[in-house]
Amino acid sequence: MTDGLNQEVQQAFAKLTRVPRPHLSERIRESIWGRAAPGTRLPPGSPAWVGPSLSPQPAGQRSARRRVLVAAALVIAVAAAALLVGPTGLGQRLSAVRAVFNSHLPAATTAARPPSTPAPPDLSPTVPASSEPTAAPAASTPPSPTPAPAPAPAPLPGYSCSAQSGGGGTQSTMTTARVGAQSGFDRFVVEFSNGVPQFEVRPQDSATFGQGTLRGSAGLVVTLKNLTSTGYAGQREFRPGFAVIQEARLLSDSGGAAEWGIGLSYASCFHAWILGGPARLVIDVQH
Amino acid sequence: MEVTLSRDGFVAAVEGILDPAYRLATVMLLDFAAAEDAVHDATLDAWAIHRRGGGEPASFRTWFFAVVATRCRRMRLRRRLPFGVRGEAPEASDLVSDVLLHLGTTARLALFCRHWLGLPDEEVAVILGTTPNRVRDRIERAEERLHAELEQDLGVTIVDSVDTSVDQQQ
Repeated sequence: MTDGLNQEVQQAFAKLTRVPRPHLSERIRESIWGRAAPGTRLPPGSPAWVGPSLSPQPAGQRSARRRVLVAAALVIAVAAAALLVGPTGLGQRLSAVRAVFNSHLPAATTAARPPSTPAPPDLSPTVPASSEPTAAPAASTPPSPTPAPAPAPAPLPGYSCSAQSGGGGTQSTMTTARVGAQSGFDRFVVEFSNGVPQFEVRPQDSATFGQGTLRGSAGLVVTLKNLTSTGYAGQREFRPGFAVIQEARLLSDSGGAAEWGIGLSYASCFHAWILGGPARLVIDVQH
Repeated sequence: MEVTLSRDGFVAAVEGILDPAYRLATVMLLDFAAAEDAVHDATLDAWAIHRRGGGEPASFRTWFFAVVATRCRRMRLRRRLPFGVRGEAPEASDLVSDVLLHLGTTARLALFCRHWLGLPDEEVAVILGTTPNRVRDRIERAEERLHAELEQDLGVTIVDSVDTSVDQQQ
């Protein structure tokens, strides 16, 4: 190829693509640091092999050995404490520790995050939608002291099994919606013309909603408020039949409010995110 | 050679090549938002491999691009709607970019790897998941098509450089 044409191809690629927005880097940092430590078990559905050939895993073996040593040290420490304090005293102390831990759970969770991770911003409805990836879980809903329903798997970092809300106060219009399947989670995305409006995502034990029954045995209700009266012209129903998301349907859209129903094959924890450019509400449902 | 990066080291290595990785995903998916999702998810894939001791045989950069390309291929297979209707898509602003947009994904990716990233056939083959011979063939055919389209649309004949052996060796 001529040098001139080579340059033209380069210039064309420069026009067709663009630099990534800074928020992509932050989103990646958030996700990497939100994941389990190296050597821990991967969540189900994680890719076993994605890239080119992989070498043997001495690093994994080392971390496995380290885990065994840590576990053994913990067992010895607990046994020693039991011998020193006696079974009754140990039980009382453990109860006290548990009570303290439960009463400070949110603070402890935040403190456990690495220092490089940005603190989750306030997601009260009055805060305008940001272009940053914002972790919506439990911003306005205190953590429930009761355990999650039995069929739901343990939530991964960043996921929660209780209602999540957030969004901004500006009026916006839904432009498109889509679903997708990823490794370890299924994704439901709604795009907006002018920032993500106030939203709430509530789990429920069945796929029956006020306006009909969707596929699946559990569901999520996505309530959107402060929408413009233009109405939604995009696709209103999806039946992807993914591992978790079986169906998504726009249940209602009137009076500046809309409600999406998501039918799930089983109750599962989820993670609601706000992303910018275009403004999107992203709901990842854990496999 | 085993190189195990810490989380910070891994993230720093990825951030160093985020720009070309994002452009590569855009070239494959033709959707800026989907490309961001692809790079994000590919990074998690790559981290999952890396933390299990999975290595990068030659170059972290090429290996990571291969993971991004794999993720993009998966996303393309799973998409339900035609491209361009989901989010903001790149638009042609001149003849060359228009021709590139209308090439097949693999041909466009091969040209991107060659002309934007400046990679040799062997590394392009890793990213495309094929052999260097096929890469050469694909790039040759894509460039021929590019020539033909441009000549047809411009009504001119593009003359190759004097030293054609250089082009043939690439």
